[in-house]
Amino acid sequence: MSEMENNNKKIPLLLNGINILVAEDNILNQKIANFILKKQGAIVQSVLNGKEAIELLIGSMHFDVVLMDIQMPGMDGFKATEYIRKDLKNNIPIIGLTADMLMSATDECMEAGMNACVCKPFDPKSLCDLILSVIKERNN
Amino acid sequence: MEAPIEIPIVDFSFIYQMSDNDSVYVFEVIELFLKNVPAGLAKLEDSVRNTDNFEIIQKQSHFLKSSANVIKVRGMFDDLVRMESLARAKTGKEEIVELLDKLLFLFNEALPVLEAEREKNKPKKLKAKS
Repeated sequence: MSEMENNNKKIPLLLNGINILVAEDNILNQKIANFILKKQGAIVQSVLNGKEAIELLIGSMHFDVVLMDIQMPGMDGFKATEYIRKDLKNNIPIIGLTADMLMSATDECMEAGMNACVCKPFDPKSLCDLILSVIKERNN
Repeated sequence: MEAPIEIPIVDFSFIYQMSDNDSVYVFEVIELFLKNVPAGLAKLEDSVRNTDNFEIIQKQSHFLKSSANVIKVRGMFDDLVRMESLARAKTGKEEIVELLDKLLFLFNEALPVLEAEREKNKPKKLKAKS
């Protein structure tokens, strides 16, 4: 293979074209999530709390997955997820974001209706794999 | 006898690794950290010194804990975890005050290191302006 061909051989982006809604009140964590996701080709929209996430989900924008921080001011991730499941009857995959490495945090996420839970700060590869896995699960 | 290994006051490894050493990105993250954490600590200090509102202390320590896990200032994350846990249990006000003092001390000690790392990664066009 020539050098030019080698240079043109691009590594496929893991999240190419996937629409992701990030609900996270900590700007620093929001920036990190956006960086990881956009680097892998995702289209990202960020909001600061659960209420804003719900407003976007009700609107005309299409999302494939939601990354939802658990603890946010206003409406937290648990309440927002319950609303999305019970009131909006929307089964969009939701991944809980938590700063606690406790099993109880995962349990609470699942009880609220989330599909999975991930601990911050994110490992880029694990986060992308998890996103693909919950989307695949939903499509099956 | 071997000299003890000194742990750096600030560990930037996560943001360097995560961004593949993208200096512009590292600069932006440190800039955000320096904009948000002092304000967050000031809010926490006000809640601890002037109120007995454990709920606000718990929420504020939780909020700061997230940032302290991205750019790791030595000891800050563990102290915030402890403070959050005490505040959640609505107990240990004296220890919370001690933890706050320690957090403020640690952050002030780390500040010059944080600022130096920010400068090191500052994009050339911004350096030219300042």
